Amino acid sequence: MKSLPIPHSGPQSRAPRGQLFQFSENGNPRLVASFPKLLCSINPLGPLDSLRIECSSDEEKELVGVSLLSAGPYLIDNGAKWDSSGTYFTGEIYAESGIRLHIKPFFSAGFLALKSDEPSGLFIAAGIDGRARLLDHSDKELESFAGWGNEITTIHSTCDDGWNVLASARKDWTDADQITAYRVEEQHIVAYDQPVALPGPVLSLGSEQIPSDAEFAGPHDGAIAVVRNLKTGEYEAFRISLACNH
Amino acid sequence: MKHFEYPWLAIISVLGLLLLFPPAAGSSVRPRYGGTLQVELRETGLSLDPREWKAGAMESATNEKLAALVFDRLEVLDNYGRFQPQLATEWTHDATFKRWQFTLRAGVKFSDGSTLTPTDVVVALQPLLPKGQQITATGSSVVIQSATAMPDLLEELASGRFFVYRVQPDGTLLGTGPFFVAETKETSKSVDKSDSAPAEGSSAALVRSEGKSTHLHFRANEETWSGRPFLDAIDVTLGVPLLRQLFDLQLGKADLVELSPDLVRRAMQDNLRVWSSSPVVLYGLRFDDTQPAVADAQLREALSLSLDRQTMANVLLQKQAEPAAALLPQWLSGYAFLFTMETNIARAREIRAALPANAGGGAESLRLRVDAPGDLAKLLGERVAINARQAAILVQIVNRVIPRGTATTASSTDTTTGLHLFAWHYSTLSSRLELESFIGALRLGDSNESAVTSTDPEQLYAREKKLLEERRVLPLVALPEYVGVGQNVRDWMPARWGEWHLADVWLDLPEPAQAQAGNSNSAGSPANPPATAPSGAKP
Repeated sequence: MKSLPIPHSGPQSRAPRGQLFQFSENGNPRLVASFPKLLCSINPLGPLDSLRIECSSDEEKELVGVSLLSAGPYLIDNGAKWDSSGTYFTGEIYAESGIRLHIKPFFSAGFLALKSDEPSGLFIAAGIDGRARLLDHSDKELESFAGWGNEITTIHSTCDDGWNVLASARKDWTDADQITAYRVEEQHIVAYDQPVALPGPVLSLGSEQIPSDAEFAGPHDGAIAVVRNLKTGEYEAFRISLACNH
Repeated sequence: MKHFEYPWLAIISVLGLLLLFPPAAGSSVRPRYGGTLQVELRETGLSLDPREWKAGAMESATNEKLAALVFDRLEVLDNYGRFQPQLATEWTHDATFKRWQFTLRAGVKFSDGSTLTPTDVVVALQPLLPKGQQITATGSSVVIQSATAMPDLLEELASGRFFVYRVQPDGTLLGTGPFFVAETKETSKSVDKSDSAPAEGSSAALVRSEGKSTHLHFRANEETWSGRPFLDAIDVTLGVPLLRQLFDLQLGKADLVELSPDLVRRAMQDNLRVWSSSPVVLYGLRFDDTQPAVADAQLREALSLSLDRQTMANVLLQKQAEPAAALLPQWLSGYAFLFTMETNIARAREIRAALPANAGGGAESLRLRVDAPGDLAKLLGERVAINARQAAILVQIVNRVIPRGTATTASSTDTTTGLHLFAWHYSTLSSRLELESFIGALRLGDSNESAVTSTDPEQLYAREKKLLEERRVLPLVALPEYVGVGQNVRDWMPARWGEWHLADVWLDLPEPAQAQAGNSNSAGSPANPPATAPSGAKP
């Protein structure tokens, strides 16, 4: 294992956020670590000792200050802009063609489609005001909910070939958390039966399919929850999927 | 839309432990920045200068809590018993534990923007380290050496007064911690004035105002290496009576207050959040070896057998304390459960009856001075007198006001008092150091007896057992700290030994009106989540 220090300047966040993904550059793989104000790149090839990290905070550069939204049928052509503190997203959702959505600030979000072969028509976001919102493609708010946690993502189900929502509960770091699955019915969100109990707070919940320019055809039927186990203090990663009840 | 099956949410696999994330990585409800935490404390005096603190003194615990806002340590112990780097990023020791090297974190700045150097660490820690431990700077590291082994040096440095600071020309102290003292203000009945307003980024070394309320305003240090704290500021009001603190918590005027044991049940009945630490305060009796009245070993045994610790803990302190049979608590020593303290009034009477009539506590009362502050100590003293009387030992209570900043355990030169009721606040995570501090402060050690330098529990146990068998000191009860926590306080994760960790705390404040506004069609709530099917899977 090798640790690569991440350069920084200015005030540091006490709850840093970011994401890891991979690109291919001229046929060579590149690991990318994206932070709110910093974009770092690592060439994973070669001996471990020669690994180097190159970072840029130039906001003119593509993807600096923007996080890819990996949850849902879209993978790469969209991104959300970080706020200046790097704590949440401003609500501006970018696509290659420019701003696609302009919604209330949020912590996490995902796209939804009613069927896997349909284009994404819905978007769900966990707002910083404590409300989760279901929106259509024109930013119209279809439904909103209080009591959800700040971690949500979308996941594909092979059971009904539809997209579903996973959401943490509204608890703080001192409590064990749970994840509830929801489905979309007639543009309404309906919870499935039983939430999954976890051994600590959910620190991150995201699509199993990390953004990549090389592969869109992943199954998208798994999500990864990073949990801090309150009994051990260790961080644990869980793969979560929907199992059909035949 | 028709569904074919109900999928079940399933955890397919645990992918493994991820240790790459820093401790503060977020939560299911992510921490929010902003707000001012209102803290009320009973202490009227405060010193943020670790050099002034007395081992075991009750007020040192308050000093340490607030100093932790301003200063950092080389390393700390987390809530899971793991040492975590702070100003030192790594450490090594030689095979004999006589030489430790701590590599300092690069780029750490004091709250005035100046850079922390190894020399700063040396100058700060040398006056605090126990006798025989020497610290020197070498390159980007500091080295601590001693002629004797220091196997518990990490425990020692992770607790108590071992903060790193820099003394400024005006005597105030600078820190690298998550907050700095922005202002201190005294409030009397008719006057509200700023008595001292330290320069930006500085830290008041000493605040003391008897009979007045003193406010300290701690502001977030934006440039701290550990990440800007979530709170914008912390307002600390000193000198607030405990009952007033409880009322202020109920009214939402305070977010964090101290609770005395007698107020804990009331707070719980009012559905207030109450947190308690492990037992951190020991109340006990100390015999003055210079007093002939208490020199008789049999008299000490009789007095010890008369003490009903169960009643003290369960009735007098309403089950908010533990009967203490050891000097160090179980969580610190690991062997406290091996000690027992018998209560046997009949046997105590027998022993007393066998003593001459003019022995101490017979024709003339034994004088018991309550050295510890507060009503609780007085109550315990009165209970000791009642218990002793049941064994035909007369005890007279003598109350005494102890000057602030004086350890209540300090050995007395009072020529007539044979018994002292003391309070000892545990202040280190090293059981060896704690025991030696205790013995030193109470002058319990023989002059020809060397201190225990080993951390071997058997040796520590033997040392403590000898003290208890000699009955030079009698433990009574051990108390936790109780804290009332406001409903809006989130991520309140203090250490069980009493550190508050306020840099990780955030306030769940009402959202601004603009954030609340929205065109929600069917708003759920925590009590009324969205429609569920087929049964209530509530988020």
